[in-house]
Formats: sequence, C-alpha cells, structure tokens
Amino acid sequence: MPAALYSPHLEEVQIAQEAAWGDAAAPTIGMAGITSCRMTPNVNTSQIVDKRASTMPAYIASVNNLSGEVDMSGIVTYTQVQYLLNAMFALDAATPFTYIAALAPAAPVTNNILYGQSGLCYAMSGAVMDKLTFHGDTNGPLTFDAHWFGKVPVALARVALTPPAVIAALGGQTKLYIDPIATAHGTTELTLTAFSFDFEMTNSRAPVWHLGTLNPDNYKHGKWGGSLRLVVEMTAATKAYLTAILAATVEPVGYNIRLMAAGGGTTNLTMDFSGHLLEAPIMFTDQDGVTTAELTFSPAYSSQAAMLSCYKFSNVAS
Amino acid sequence: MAEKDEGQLLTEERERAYRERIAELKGQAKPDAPKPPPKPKVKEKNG
Repeated sequence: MPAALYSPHLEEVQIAQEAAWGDAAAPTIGMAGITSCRMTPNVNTSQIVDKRASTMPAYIASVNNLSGEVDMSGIVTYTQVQYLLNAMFALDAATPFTYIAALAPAAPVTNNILYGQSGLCYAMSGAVMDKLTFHGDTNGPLTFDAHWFGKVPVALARVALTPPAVIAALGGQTKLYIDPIATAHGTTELTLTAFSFDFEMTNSRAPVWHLGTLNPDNYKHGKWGGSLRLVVEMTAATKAYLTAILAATVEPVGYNIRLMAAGGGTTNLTMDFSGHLLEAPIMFTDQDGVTTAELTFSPAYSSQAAMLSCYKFSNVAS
Repeated sequence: MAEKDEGQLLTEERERAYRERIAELKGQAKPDAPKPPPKPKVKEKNG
C-alpha cells in the first residue's frame, strides 16, 4: 500500500505583496515562524425550494457569492514583521519601517496568500488584513494572530522559496513605557513591572460586492479599533496610575504606552499605543504569587506631536 | 492620457498625506548627522 500522499509536516505559507488589489501576484516571500494557518473558503450557495408538485428537497441551486478568509498565527520576527505591518497600515519598503494608523484611509498592501504543500496549495488573492494582534509574555518570542479576508481560494502551484533566516523578537527584550497622553511615548520606562500584553488592532475593513461579480470586487475602510491589555505587577508606580485612573471624574485618563523590543545588533521593534482606560481595572489579581493588576486600554487619538494617531510602529530589521 | 476622476485624486491626496507623515517620522527616528571633524589647527610659522 502506498504511503499517504500529503502530510501536515510539509505545509508552508508564502505571500505576495500585490501591486493592485486582487492582482493575484505570484508569491515572492516565504514566511518563517508561522505556527498555524487556516484558510477558509466562504462559498455561499442555496437551494431554491420552489413549488413544483413534488416532495423532493430541491431541483434548483445557485452560487450566490464567494469570498475567503485566512487566520494566521506565528512568532514575531524583526526580519518579517514589516510584511504584517504593510498589510495593516501601508507599504514601507525601507528600514526603519514606519507606520501609523492614518486619519484618512491610506491603501494597505494587499496579499496573495498561498498555503499548503507541493501538489496541494491554495491561494487567496485580494487578501485585506482587518485584524492584527501582538502578544508578549515572559516565556519566549512575541507572537501574532492575523486575519485577512479576500477572494475565494484557488489552486495555485507552490513557488520554490526558502524562508530567510530570521531574528525573533522576544518577551525578554521588551520594555514597557507609560506616559500621560500629552507626553511623548517612551519617556517613562516602568522596569520590573510588566508580565504580559495583548495589543489588538482592528480597522473595520470589509469586502464589497457589486452586481456582476461573485467574488468581492472591492473593499471598504472603517474606523480603527482594538485594545491594549497589560498585566502588570502592583508596584508603587502602578498604584499611582491606578489611583489616578480611579480618581478621574470628568474623563478617563489617557495614556501614551510604548512596548519596545530591542534585539541583537540594531534590530528594534517599537509599538506605540494611545488610549483611554475605559474598563475598570481588575485589581488584586495575582501571577505566581505576585499581586498584579490588569489594565485594558481602548485606543484614542493622541495629539502629541510625535504621534498624531492611535497606533504607530517602527521596525528596524537589521 | 485620461483625466483623473475625483476618486483617484482623493486617493492620491490621502496617500501623499500619509507618505509625508511617514517621511517626517523617519526623519525623527534617524540619529543626528555626525558633526564634521574639527579642522586641524595650523601653527603659523614665525619668521
């Protein structure tokens, strides 16, 4: 009996950065550090239950519309994180790769995402990223979860690409800074404080269908959203923040928060967030016997001169 | 060449605004340009 033809161990992820939305450019980038990928075709079909003097379930069926989704997770690397940021914000081709959430929508890089293995690959073109989350903790590399929507996946031959050698961004390299929303990011470092973070960004982009097409033939932009959740040790500085937050009577306190991973050489990933603490902090939690607080911030515009946005990123690849 | 429609012009304007802001931020991220080395002092010879 022949061996099974396909094996999940042979799967890989390759992407193209499309020059125009949905141009289905052949992949040119072999992605390293991807730990999970799920490609979901959305094939919206229906049977028409018409009246034809019969007890048969249906006689007519139709394909109504098509689309696709990709959910991808992996580790954050200084070498390739710009491909995710290009898709979330807009193309930057030169280090220091720099991004902001634009007040008026700037066109993101759209992708053709290929997933599979030799002889069994599918690709979703016109992939528009609408959600990107970075996680960090004290136990290894920073990780990401990303979501794209696009056209329905189609079979595509894999390209002979080798993922490059990458440098992972680690929790052990990541620093936390918290400042009032009117003060520049990165002014006040809180050492010996942060245990973990979840930095979630959404942009409310969505596919658009017009008459004359089954696949989406355009996409639309929406408002930026998301949250930043910090798990921090209860220190004197944390207590001061908590007290200020709880003492607010007119509007919630706004903060400029920076998470910065500084790797070897010149590698450096800076994640800047501006937001309000809308949800009440969860007090007196504990992590392995240390009293902590969980703070969840909602993004907001910061008029601080170096920010002028709710999200700003910089990545120095090498 | 066909005239650009309103949508194209608006898109280009937004792209330009975004690019200008990114260029500004990249400028801020770069370290100050190194100062030129001081000119060597030349001793004037007497006589």
